[in-house]
Amino acid sequence: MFVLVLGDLHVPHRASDLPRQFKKLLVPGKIQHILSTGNLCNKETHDYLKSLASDVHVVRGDFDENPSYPEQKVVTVGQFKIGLCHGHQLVPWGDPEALAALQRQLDCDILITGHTHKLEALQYQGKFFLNPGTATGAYSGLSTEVHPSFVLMDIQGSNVTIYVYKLKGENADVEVEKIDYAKPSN
Amino acid sequence: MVNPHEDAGNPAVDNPLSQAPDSTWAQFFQNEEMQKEIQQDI
Repeated sequence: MFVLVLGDLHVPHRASDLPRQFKKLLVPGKIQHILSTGNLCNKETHDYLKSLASDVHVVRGDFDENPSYPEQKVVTVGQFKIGLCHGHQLVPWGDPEALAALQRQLDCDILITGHTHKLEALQYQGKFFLNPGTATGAYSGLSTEVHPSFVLMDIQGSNVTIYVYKLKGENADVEVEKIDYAKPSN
Repeated sequence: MVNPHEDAGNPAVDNPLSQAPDSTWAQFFQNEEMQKEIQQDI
């Protein structure tokens, strides 16, 4: 089961579109679910995600205007409960303790947040925390050096393989990294 | 039979979104498609 995780696209305010190298990889029919951390920020981008997979979940970022996006969401895929939240609501942004508090509140196995535009995948207190970064490389107030990135999760039973796709430079090739995570048995 | 879930190849080529025709995932998707077709024919 493939789950595409991406967010903070900021189209059209900070970027015009996804990098062409990414668009080439994202073909319809392969991905079953899309989880987006928000800040898309327009309807066309949502429609593009819809064209890749029918099951699209988006939470509301601080620049999203669509009032139908919820602030947070929990989606179950296979044996994993996945929490989704943009992350601008957390204080401080991207802080492991603040993320862990949200993870306990949502009672999820994997927590996905965005907002910092910084790619992150870490295990903390037995849970998995994922930040797909920004898929367009949109600038952020926090850092000047931002690279486009997104994540693909391959969920097989109680195991998940996380593929991280990064682009460093406009004409560079996509870099891929692989991370394995198994759900601890209770 | 190719099983990319267990194969630890080079992630730059062997990832599910890879467009390289010789990637293990490309072979896996091809096999899957063929299995579907065989199922239909039976």
